[in-house]
Amino acid sequence: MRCDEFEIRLNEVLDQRRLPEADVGLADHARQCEKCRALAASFQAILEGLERSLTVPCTNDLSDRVLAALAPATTIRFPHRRQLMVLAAAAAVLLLVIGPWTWFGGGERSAGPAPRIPRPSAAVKPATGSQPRPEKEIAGPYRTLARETTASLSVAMQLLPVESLGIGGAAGTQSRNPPATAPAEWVHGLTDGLTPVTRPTAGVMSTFIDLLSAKDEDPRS
Amino acid sequence: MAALVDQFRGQVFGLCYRMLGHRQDAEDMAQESFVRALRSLANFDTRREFTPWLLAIAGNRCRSLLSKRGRRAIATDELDKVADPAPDGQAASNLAEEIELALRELRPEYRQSFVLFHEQHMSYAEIAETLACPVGTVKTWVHRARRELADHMLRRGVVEELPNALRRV
Repeated sequence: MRCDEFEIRLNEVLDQRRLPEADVGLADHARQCEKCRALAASFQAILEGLERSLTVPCTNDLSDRVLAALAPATTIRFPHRRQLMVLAAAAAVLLLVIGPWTWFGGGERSAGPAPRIPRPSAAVKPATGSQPRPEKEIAGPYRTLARETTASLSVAMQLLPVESLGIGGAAGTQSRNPPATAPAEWVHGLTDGLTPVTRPTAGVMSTFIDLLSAKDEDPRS
Repeated sequence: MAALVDQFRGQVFGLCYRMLGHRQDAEDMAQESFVRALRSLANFDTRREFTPWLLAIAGNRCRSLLSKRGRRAIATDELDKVADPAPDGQAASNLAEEIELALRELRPEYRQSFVLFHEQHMSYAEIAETLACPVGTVKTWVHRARRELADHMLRRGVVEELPNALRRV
């Protein structure tokens, strides 16, 4: 047996959890080779040292500590908390944009579903044949603010692909830019077009608020 | 839950202590390992062995702590032991202390596989499952751990004090 074979054989014996001294080949080579004898002795020392140092006690209160650490784990967790927060922020921004117009310009339609008002166009008449919506009279100190909000919203909507929002039914094939002569009319029609967008957003917001309320009321938290 | 912790705390703490070489850290990691395991118990695949799964969690926690330790200074008491190249008379006579010192110098994967085989008496297949690596790799790690430990013992002059071991071989 060569010296390199001795180490391989020694590892094999230890892998099989057998005693090296019980292996005849190892014992014969160890008697002849001082280097391999020292190696075998060091392996033996390692195992003896492990046995001597096994008695490292663990504290008895480990189970109590584990159970105490587990207690906070019963609080409600939101697996998609980050996404919910982003969604809530987006919904808040959307409400900030739509809110003023709804408050100042669409209040009379809040009582029930409003008839769809197609986007007026100078080139194509609306298919429904409905009459243009008369300018609303807003009383009080909010009149100026309402007009400015409506005007700014109408300008902003010129940049949006309004056809994809489903505004105006047949008018969806019309030009994406509203006519400058009746910006308020075009914006009024926006409510119906945005309803499919705002409704689920409002639902998500409501659910989110319910979840937060449930968390606050949970006695385990 | 308390019964489960009591049943396995010896194994988990033993592995953590061997991996970290520090009692308080080992207790903290043992606690953290049990907490993680119990929180994930609902997702545990019952077709698997529980002990390798639990020790895998403990080993991962210990390796994470070791990697964090690597970025900061070693504790002073540990530094004194590791930096002492000369075989101190008292330390050399204490074989168990020498083993602990030698184990700290091993790479974490060598140390873990060595401890799992020789101290936890796990099979190579179980260790391979615990460490999520092939059996051959585990064998190689254990063999290298033995060799490095043996070199350490020879270098420190510990083996010369064990003439009986030669006779046994």
